[in-house]
Amino acid sequence: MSPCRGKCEEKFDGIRRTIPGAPDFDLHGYCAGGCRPCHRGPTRHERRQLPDEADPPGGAERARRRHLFDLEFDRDSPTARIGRHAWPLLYGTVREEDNERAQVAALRRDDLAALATQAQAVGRRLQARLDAVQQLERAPAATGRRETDRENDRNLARIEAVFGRELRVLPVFKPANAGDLASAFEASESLQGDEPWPVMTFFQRAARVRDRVARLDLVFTYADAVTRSVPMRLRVAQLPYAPRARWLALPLRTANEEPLGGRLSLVAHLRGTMSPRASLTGLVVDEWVEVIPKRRETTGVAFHYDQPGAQAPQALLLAVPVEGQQAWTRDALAETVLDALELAQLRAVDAQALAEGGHFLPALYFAFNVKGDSVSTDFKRVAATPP
Amino acid sequence: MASITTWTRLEPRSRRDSLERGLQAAVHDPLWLLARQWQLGEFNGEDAGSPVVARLQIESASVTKVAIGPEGRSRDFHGEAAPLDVVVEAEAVRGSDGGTLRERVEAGLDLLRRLQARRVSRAVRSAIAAAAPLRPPTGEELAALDTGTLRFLRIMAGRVPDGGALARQVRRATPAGSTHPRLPSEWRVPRANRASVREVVEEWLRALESLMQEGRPRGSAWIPERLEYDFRLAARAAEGEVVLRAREFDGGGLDWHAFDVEPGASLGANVTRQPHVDMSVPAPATFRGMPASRWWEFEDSQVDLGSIAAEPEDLPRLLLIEFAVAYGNDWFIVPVDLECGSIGRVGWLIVADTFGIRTSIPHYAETRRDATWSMWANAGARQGADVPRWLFLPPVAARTMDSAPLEDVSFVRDEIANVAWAIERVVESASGRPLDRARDLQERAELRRDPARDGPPPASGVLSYKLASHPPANWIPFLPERTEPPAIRLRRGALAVDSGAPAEGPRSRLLGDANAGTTWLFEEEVPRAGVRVVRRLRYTRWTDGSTHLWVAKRKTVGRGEGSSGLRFDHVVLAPK
Repeated sequence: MSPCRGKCEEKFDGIRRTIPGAPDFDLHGYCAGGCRPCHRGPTRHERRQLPDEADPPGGAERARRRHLFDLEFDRDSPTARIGRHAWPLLYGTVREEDNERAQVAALRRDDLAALATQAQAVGRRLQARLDAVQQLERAPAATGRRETDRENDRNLARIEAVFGRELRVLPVFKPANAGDLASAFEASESLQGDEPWPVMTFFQRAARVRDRVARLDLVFTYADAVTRSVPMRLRVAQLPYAPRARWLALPLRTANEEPLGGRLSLVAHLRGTMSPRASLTGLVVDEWVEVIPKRRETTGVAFHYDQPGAQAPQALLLAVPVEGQQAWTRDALAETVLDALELAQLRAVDAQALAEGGHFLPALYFAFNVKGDSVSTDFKRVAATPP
Repeated sequence: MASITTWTRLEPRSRRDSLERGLQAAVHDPLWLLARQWQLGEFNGEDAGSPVVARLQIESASVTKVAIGPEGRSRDFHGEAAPLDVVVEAEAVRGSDGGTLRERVEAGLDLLRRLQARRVSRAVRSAIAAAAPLRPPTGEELAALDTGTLRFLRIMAGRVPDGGALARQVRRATPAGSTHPRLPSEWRVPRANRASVREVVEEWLRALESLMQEGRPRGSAWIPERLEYDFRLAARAAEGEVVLRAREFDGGGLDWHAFDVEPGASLGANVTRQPHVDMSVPAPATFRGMPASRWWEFEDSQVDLGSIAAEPEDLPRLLLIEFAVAYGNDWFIVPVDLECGSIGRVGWLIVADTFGIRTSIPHYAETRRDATWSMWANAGARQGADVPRWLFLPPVAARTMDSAPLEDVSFVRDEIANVAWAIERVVESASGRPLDRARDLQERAELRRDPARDGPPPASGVLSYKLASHPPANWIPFLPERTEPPAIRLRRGALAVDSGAPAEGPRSRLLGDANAGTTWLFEEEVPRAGVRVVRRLRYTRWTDGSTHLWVAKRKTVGRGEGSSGLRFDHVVLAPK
C-alpha cells in the first residue's frame, strides 16, 4: 500500500471532477512519490527514478514538499487548491528530466523557490482554464438543435477549455455497412494470401512517400521501441467485400490475371476486433489512389480523309400522298423533297431579294381613311407605341 | 360626299449591317431552319463519302534490350517486371550497412515483430536484439549529427536492434551460394528454436530486400558530369533492329519524345514481331477549341483559336490557326491496342466509305519524297535519314507518388566570384529525413559557439582585416579549369575552413557519393538560369500488380544566378 495514497487520490479527483463523465485518467504517473495503484508495485526502472520509497511519511522528502506548499500558498486560497493539483504535474516534469534521485533530493532552496514560481504560473493557467469552464456553464444554452447535439457541443467546449485544442475528442459512430466491414476485416489474412506481413511491407513503403503515413509509422516505431505494449496491428479490408478475394495491393497471382477493378482498400490499426454491432471511433490518417496500369494501352493512328461537308437536314418532312393516289412513287417522293427545299429557299426571300418584284410584293397594303369610310390602320399610333 | 382613302404599304426589312442578330443563331420555323442549312452549304453535294470502316495492319515488336549509361553493356529488358523508370533511375541506396538509421531501426523492429508473431520466446528475442544493439552516438558523431537524428537516436539507442547489422551478420554466417540463410552464432538461438527462427529470418530478409528497388552501385544511367540520364533501348522491327536512345533525360516523366533513333546501332535485340490486322470504325479526331463544323452546335469556350494574335511573319502560328480552323475536321483516328514497351509499325491502312469505295492511306513518309522530319516521330540522329515509321509506346509508370525531396541541390553561376556553386539546400539526414542544411548549420554553429575561444565580437565601427570571406558550408565551389582539347570544365573544390569549425565536405549523395557523385561538370551544364537537382523517392504500381519504390533524381531549371559574396583580402567594418 502506498504511503501517500488518499492524499493524491484527492487531488486527482479534483482534476477528474473538472470534466464530468470523462474516462478515468491514470494520473498516478504524476505523483511525486509513493503513490501508485495498490494492485501494481513499481517496476525496477521506476523505483530507480523515484525518491526513496523507504522515506517515511513525514520524512525529509515529504517535509521538503510540504515546505514548498507552505512557502508559497495560502492553504485555503483557490490558488493553493489549484497549485496542489498543479504540483503533481510539475513534479512529474522534474522527475522526467532529472531522473537521478540525487538531483531531486539535492533541490536547493532557490530551486524550490523557482519551482514554486513555476507552480504558481501553472496554477494561474489552471485557474484561467477553470474560469473558462465556469464561463461556459453560465453561457446561455444554444437553441434550435437537438438536445444530444447541444449536450455534445457543451462537453466538447468544456474539454477544450480545460485541455486545449490539442486534445481531440473523437465521435463514436455506427457504420451503415457494419456487417460488411466486420466480415471484410475478418478476411484480412485471407486477403493477404494467409500471411500477416504483406500489409506491413505495404505500410512501410507508403511511409516512405506519404508524410502522414510516415508520422504514424514513427509513432509506432517509438511506441514499439519504448514500451512494446502497443504492437502495430494492421488489418486489411477490401470493399465491396467478396470472400476469397485477393488484396489489390499485392502482386497479381499470374501474369495474365486481370485486376478486379475499382476497390476500396482499408488498412486499419485496430484495437480489438471489428464486430458488426460495435460502435467505432478512429482517425483517418491518409488516403490515396493507386492505379495498376494495363499491359496493353489503346493508342491511335490518325489519318487525313476529306469527308463530305453535307449534313442531315434539321427538319422532318411529313409527306402525305396526293388524294386519290394509293401508293407512293419514287418520283412523287423526290418531288416532295425538292419542293420542300425550294420552299425553304423561298422562305429566305426578303424584299431586297425580290428586286423588281419588290414593287408589288409583299402585298401588304393597308387602307387609311380620315372619315372612317374604310377599315383604317393608323401606323402613326403603332410607331408611337413605345416598344 | 366621297372621302379620300390612302394606302400604306408595309415593307419588312430583315437585312441589317450589324451581325449581332445573325450570330445569335435564333431558331424559327422548320422551313427557316432548312433555309439556313442551304445558305451554310450543308446541302451541297460532294464527290466523297464518310469513312465507316478502317482496316489496319500493324506489326509490333517488344523492347527486349536495354543498355544503361553511355557505354553500358546491353542486357535483357523485362517490361512486364518493372517500369522503365525503375530500371533507369533506381539508385543503390542502402549499401552494406542497411541504409539510414530509420531504415535499420525499422528492419530491426520488423524482425522482432515477426519473431513475436511466431511465438519465439522473449529470451531468444532479447538475445538476438542484443547481438546488434543500436549504439548511442560517440562524441564525434554528436557534433556532426543534426538535432532530428539525435532525438531519434536518444530514444532508439540501446532499445532496439540495428536491423542492418543483423542482416549483415546473417549474410556473413551464410555460405556463399546458399539460398537459405544460416543463423549467426552470436545470436545464441537455442537448438529448439532454430528452425522457426531461420524461417522467420528468411522471410524477413526477403521482405527487406524487396522493400525497395535498387540499381547497381556502379554503371548507373546517371551521368554525374552532365546531371542527366543516358540509356538505350532496342527492339527488332521489320526493317531491322531499332535502337532508341534517351540522351538528355532529366528524370521525371518519360515519354516517347525523350528518345532519338540511333541509326546503325545494335544491342542484339530479339525477334518478337507480332503482325496483326485490326478492323475498327474511324472516329473524327477532335482537339480542344476545335471549331464545330455546324451552325447550331456549341463550341468549347476554353480555347479560342480566333483570339490567337499572329503577325504576318508568324508563320507557325498562322499555319496552326489555319490548320485548326480550316482542316481540323478532316482528320480521323483509328484505335490501336499496343503492348506497353513495344514499337508498332503500321503496314497498311485501308478505309472504306459509305459508298463502299476503298482508299489506301499511305504513310506520311511515302507521300513526300523529301520527307526527313515529322513532328510525331522519334528524331533520327542521322541527317537525311527517313522518318521513322513506327509508334513507340514506352513502358513507363503512368502515375507515381513522389516523396518530399530527400536532397535538393542547386547549381548556380556566380559571375562576380567567377565560380559555380552547388548549394545543398536539403540533404538526407542520418535518420533518413530531409534536412534543411542551412538551418542545421546554424543550429550546430550555435551549439559550438564558445565565447572563451572565439573572443568578444569586435567593437562597432572598428575595421578588421579578413583574408577571405566564408560562404556557408553548404555552398560547394566548382572552379573553372582548362582542359585539353581546349574547353572549360568545372571542378569541385573546397573552401578554406573557418577556424574552429570542422571541415565539411558535400553532405549530399548527389555530390559526395563515391561512385556517382559529381566531382566535375561540363561548363555548359550550369547555364545562367541555373540548375536544380532533386532526389526523391518514387512509388508506383506496375502491370503485374507489383509495387515499386525507388530513389530517383530529377533535373529542373534553377532560379538564376547566385552570389556567394566570396571575397579575398578585404577589410570589414564591424556593424554598429
